Amino acid sequence: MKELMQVKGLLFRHSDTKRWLKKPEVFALGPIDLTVNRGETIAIIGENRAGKSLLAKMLVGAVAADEGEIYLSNVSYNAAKRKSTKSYNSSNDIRMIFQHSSEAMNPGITVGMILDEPLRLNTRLSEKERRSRIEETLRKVGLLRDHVYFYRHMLSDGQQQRVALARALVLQPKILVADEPFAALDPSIRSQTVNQLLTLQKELGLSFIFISHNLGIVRHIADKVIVMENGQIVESGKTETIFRWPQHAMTKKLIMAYQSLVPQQKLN
Amino acid sequence: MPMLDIKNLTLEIDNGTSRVKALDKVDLTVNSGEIRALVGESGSGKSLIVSAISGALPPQFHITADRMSWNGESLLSMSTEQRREIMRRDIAVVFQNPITAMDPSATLGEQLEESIPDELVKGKWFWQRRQSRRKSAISTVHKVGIKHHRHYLNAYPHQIPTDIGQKFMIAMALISQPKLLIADDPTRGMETTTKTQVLKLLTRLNQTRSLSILFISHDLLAISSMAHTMTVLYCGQSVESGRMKMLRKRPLHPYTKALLDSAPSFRKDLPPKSILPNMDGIIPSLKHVPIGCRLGPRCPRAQKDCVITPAVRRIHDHTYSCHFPLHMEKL
Repeated sequence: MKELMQVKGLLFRHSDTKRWLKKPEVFALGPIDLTVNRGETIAIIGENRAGKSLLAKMLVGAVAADEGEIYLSNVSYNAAKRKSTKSYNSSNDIRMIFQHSSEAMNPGITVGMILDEPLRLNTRLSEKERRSRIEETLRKVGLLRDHVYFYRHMLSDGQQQRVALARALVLQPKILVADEPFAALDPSIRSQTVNQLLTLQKELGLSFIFISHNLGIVRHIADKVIVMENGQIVESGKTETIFRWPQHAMTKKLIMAYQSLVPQQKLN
Repeated sequence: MPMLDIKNLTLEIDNGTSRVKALDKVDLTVNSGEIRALVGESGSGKSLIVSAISGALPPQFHITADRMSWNGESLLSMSTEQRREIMRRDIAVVFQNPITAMDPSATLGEQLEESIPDELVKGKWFWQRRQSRRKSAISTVHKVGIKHHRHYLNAYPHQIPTDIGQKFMIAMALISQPKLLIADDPTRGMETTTKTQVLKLLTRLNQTRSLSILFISHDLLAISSMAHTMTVLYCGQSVESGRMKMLRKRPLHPYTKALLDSAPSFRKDLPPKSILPNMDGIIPSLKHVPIGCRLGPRCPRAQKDCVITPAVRRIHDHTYSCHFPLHMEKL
């Protein structure tokens, strides 16, 4: 397998200065080292406020880190420097699906315009090429060409999720980062989305990093699991290894909580 | 005898020109000391049932029911005061959206202390009573798993994270020591550890205080770990109902089977990264409900007869409504 992305020493610090009668709040994330291979699925699990969403945002560059470097298909990106535009170089290889995908879409414009925006801002395609790219992407995620004329409110939950997926895929990325893509979905829509992602991954060779609380789905689709606690990666490894032989206390807690819900197989 | 007994509950919504049946002949019973799960996807009318039971429906909704009774008294024919009394003392509701269900202008502690019924407060003088209120508020908050009570009791609803809000709603429901707890998706979006904590708490209350619970959710994993009986709703129609064990072992309705299949945790034999079995299509909106069996257009076993609403059939305490259930292999 080929290495697609390498993260070295990613660090984020947040500190509130001490004020009258108020304890200083210190939150540090990292240093985080991570490698992502081609076509690999990585799941990030952990409790609330462990810094999972922040890590995802830092990986795609939505939040600037304090230190660290990201290598994406052998190009180095300085994760820290975002202020001066000169040292800022962008890449279309990594894209993100946000936590509340339906709320992250502009309700005032059509799906076609939502998908057109990233293309207009990041590529030099002509209008015709953009148009055909959008239609191709919509077809890929299981929507129709006519959906470009739809507004957000005309679509159902599952379709909105597909549009969010299409918006991430329209730039033809190599890595997809998703923050709780399945949390707000109904069971039948959820398995449709899971199937969609699995087929897309097979077709396009996408790498997929996602955050989830649903350990059943994590176990089903992830190759590797990363467990986070208080901004640190406390354990990482192959999914089966993590689920069978958890080492760290946090991992044990999560897995035990999950196992206690799963019906044990009975001999009858 | 069932505590809460609902038979053929139909809820119609006036939309100017016509009436839409949002709930179509739903049956639901909760026996005392039982955990009944109500499962359905969004838009299936789960929350409407909660509002119908608690009497919080707007006037353009019309309820008709053959029977809707609480401990033998009909809820539909009693006066507003009587009904409010029951809702105050016997039934507690955990609403779906905790932050918006709370009073934004009062602290959580004030709201929690307000919901303690007078007869549960000990002491004769006001300072004793105040102390007793405070004490039971703190102990309830601890019970649902909130550690920093001092911080959260003085906070306003907008200052707290959602999962604390969810736990707080449960605390507010439990503090009046109800007989029936209606929990409308109490574990939505919770992380696994917190979820197990809440589920354990509810199970323990069910065992020690024989609290009946109507647990509404679409998280089948949570449901199957605690519920005794389950009712499956689809688009306002009750689809299948029976003991949890029976339903899991041998679902008779295609929709129940599809729901159970959609959770990969139930299936040990499923190879990783394989395609999950699922049902095509989406849940129809209320404007476009199909006639007859509402699952019809999505159902893999659907045939011509499915345009007629199937009658409820019963095998022991397992009821289902389908023309072509899964145990009748011949189509």
